[in-house]
Amino acid sequence: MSLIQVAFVFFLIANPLGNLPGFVSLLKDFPFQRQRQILLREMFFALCICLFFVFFGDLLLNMLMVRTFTLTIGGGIVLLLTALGMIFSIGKTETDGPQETATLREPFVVPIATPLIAGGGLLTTVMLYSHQLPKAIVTIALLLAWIPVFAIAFAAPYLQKLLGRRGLAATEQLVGMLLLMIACDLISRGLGAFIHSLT
Amino acid sequence: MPFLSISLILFLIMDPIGNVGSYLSMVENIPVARQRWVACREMLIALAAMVLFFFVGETIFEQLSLSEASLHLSAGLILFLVAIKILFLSPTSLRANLPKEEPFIIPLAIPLIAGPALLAAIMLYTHIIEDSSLMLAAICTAWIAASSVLFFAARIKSLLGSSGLTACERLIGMLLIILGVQRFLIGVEHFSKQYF
Repeated sequence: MSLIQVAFVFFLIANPLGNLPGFVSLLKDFPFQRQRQILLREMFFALCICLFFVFFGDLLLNMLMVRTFTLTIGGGIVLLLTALGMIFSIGKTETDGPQETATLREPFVVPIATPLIAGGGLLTTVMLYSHQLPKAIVTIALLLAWIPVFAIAFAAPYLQKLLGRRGLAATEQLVGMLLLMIACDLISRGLGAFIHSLT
Repeated sequence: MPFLSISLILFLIMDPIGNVGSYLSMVENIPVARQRWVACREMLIALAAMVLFFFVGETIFEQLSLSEASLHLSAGLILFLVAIKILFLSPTSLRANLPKEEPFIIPLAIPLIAGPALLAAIMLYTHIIEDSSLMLAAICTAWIAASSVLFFAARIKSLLGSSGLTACERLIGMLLIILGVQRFLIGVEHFSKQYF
């Protein structure tokens, strides 16, 4: 496999485009500049987590005696809880002041960096490739894949301007539902691998 | 099970890095010399709780006539729920409403360091591992590591910054969720083996 192909696979699994509405909904209460800062920071964290897993992923999972499907299930559950919060948070945002929610709920590492970007799927893939290919190649592929990821994170706040305030509130519900589906998919796939490992 | 794994898992469950912020906010009005003493005392109380569960865990296990599957399931569930509380901080949780006075036993020693998740894990590992001196050594290693983190709490905070600290706390929270799920799945595995 060529370097570009691996980078492309990483980009697809990180799925920044698919997660774009999710980012916008999670960050809708923040000012424009702040959103961009948060997103770039989260993408950087996600990259760090991926690089850590290239080199130490196997070691960490062995040390903690964790199987790879557990990563998928755990990530799925965290995503599920995030999605539930998005779908059922209408009453909460009306009663609380916007400033209070902003300080309380700024996304930090969870849920954007992990599990949305560097989730179980991406981390497992990264570990898989670092078995098959030299670690240096995987690292460069990750860095290459992150160029478009950073670009998308940079452009994401414009989407909010496009949607407007009411549009965003409606999008949040829809995105919550999509995230819920992704979460269920992750959990069921992880459980499938678990059941497979039993027999 | 290798010694290092158990020590690392116990260390992670004690979550000393996540507790650095809580500890510092509780002791900020206390003189530095007194802070050291408080940290030592609380860590010793936590150690006493851990060693107590190391010795009586097996008795509890037999008295309640628990199965190994239920021990795994419950340890996994507690750890999972504690980790959820770390990741999704709610306004009613302990970490959001820390008392502004000197901590004595509650809330630092128990439950922030030696919480139910840790005690359940100790009970579980003591049951699984044949060599009990190895287990005791693992508890002590994890405890020494956690104590040094708490002892140098102020320095760690100035090194990482408060956002770096939050990042570490979240990452460890994520690892704890994964550990909880793994425990739970092992419980399910044991459970299914009883019937199939």
